[in-house]
Amino acid sequence: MNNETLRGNLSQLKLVDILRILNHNKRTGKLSLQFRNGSADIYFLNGDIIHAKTNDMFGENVIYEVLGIREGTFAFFPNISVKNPTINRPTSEIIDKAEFIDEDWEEVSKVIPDFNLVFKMTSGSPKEISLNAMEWNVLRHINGKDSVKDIAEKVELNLLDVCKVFVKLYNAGLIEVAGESIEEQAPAVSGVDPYVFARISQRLAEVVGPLAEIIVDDAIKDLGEDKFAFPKEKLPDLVDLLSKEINDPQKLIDFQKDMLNLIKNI
Amino acid sequence: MDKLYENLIKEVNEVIGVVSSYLISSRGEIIYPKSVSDFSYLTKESFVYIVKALGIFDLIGENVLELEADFHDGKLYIINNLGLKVPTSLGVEKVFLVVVGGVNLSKSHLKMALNVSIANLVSNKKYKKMGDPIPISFSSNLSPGKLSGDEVEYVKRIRELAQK
Repeated sequence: MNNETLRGNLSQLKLVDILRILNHNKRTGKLSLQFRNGSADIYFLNGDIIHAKTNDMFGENVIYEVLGIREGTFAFFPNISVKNPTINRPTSEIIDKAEFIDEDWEEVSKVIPDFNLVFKMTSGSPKEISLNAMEWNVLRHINGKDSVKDIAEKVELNLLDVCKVFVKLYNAGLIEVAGESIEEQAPAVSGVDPYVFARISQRLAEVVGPLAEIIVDDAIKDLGEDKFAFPKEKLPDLVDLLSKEINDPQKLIDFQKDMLNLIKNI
Repeated sequence: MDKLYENLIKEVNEVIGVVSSYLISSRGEIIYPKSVSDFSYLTKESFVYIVKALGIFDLIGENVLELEADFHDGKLYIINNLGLKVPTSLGVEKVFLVVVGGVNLSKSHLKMALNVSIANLVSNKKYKKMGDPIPISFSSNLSPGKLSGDEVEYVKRIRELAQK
C-alpha cells in the first residue's frame, strides 16, 4: 500500500478484515466509515488501534458497535493522527474480540440486514418459547412503529444483544417484519461527502502538521456548519479559513491549487 | 503568453457562480478573452462605462481597488488591484478584472482561483521579462473627446466638487 487512499464498500470487505489488514501492514492514519445513519472514525498508529469515535461515543466499544454494519463505505487516510488516544488494549485482542462478535453479527444480519427495520407481533401461533427478563423487555417495546435501533436505545442495551433477541423472537415466529422506520426513510440532508474533509485534513496536515484535522473541525464549526450536512458552496469559505493557518506563500498557493482541483472534482 | 491569460480567465469562469469574466485595459478594451462571442450579460459599451466610472473615482481621489455592484440578477465585481500587466498594441498595459456572476458567486472561491492563477502567471519567465506598463490613468478617459454631451457636464460637475 502506498500513500493513496484505500477505499471500498463494507459489503465487499468486512470491517474486521480491514482492521486486520491495517494492523498487519502497520499503518498510521484514519479509517473512516460512512453508513446510512452516520459515520465512525478509527485511528491507527503503526498498525495499533488507538482511538475510535462516532458522533455520540468514543473508545473501543465504537468498533464493536459498527461491526454489524454491512452497508456502507470505508476509506483509509494515511498519516492522520489523533491528539487524545482513547484505546490502550492490544490491537490483537481487539481484533480477536471483533472477529468473535462479527460471527454473531453475521447470524443477526440474516434476519436484520438493516437496523431501521420495524418488527411487529405475528398474528399466527408462535412456537413455545421461554424468555428471560431482558428478552421480555425488548418484546414489550415491539410495536410495529419503532425500529430495531430505536428499541435498542429505549431499552438502553447493547445493539448486538438486542438484535440477538429479535432473531430469537423471529425464529420462534413471535414477530415479523412490518417495514422500515418512516423517520429513517426521510431523504438525507444533501451535503459534501465527509470523505472530502478527511482529504482536506490530510492535505493540510502536510503543511501544518498533525493538528490539521482539529483545525478543519474548528473551521467547520466557525462557519456554523456540520460536517455531515456541509453545503458544497461553502467549501471555498472553509478553504479560505484554513488558508489563514499557512504562513509560507508558496505552500499556501500549492494548498489552494490542490483545493481548487478538489472542489472542481466534487 | 496568451495561453496563461486565457487560463486565468478560464479558472475564474470555473468559480462557483461566475458567468463570465474579462481582463480590461484602462481604455476599456477587452484584452482577454481574445474571442468574446457572448455579450448577453454585459455589452462592450458597459466596459467603457466601467472605465469612466473608475476614472471618476480617480478624479475624486478614491482609487478603487474592488467594486461590487448589483447587476441584473447577479453581481458585478471590478477588481482593480491585481497588479497584472498585459502586452497590448500600445506596449505593456495594466489591466483590471471584471467578473459577472450570479447571486451565489463565492468570493472566497474567486479569491482562491485568482491567487493560484496569478501566482502561476507572474512566475512565468516571459511575464517577468515584460517591461513596466505605460502610464495610462482611468481619468484620461474623461477628456471631452471621449465623453457624450451629458457626460461632459456630469464630469465637469464632479471636477468642481473634487476641487472644493
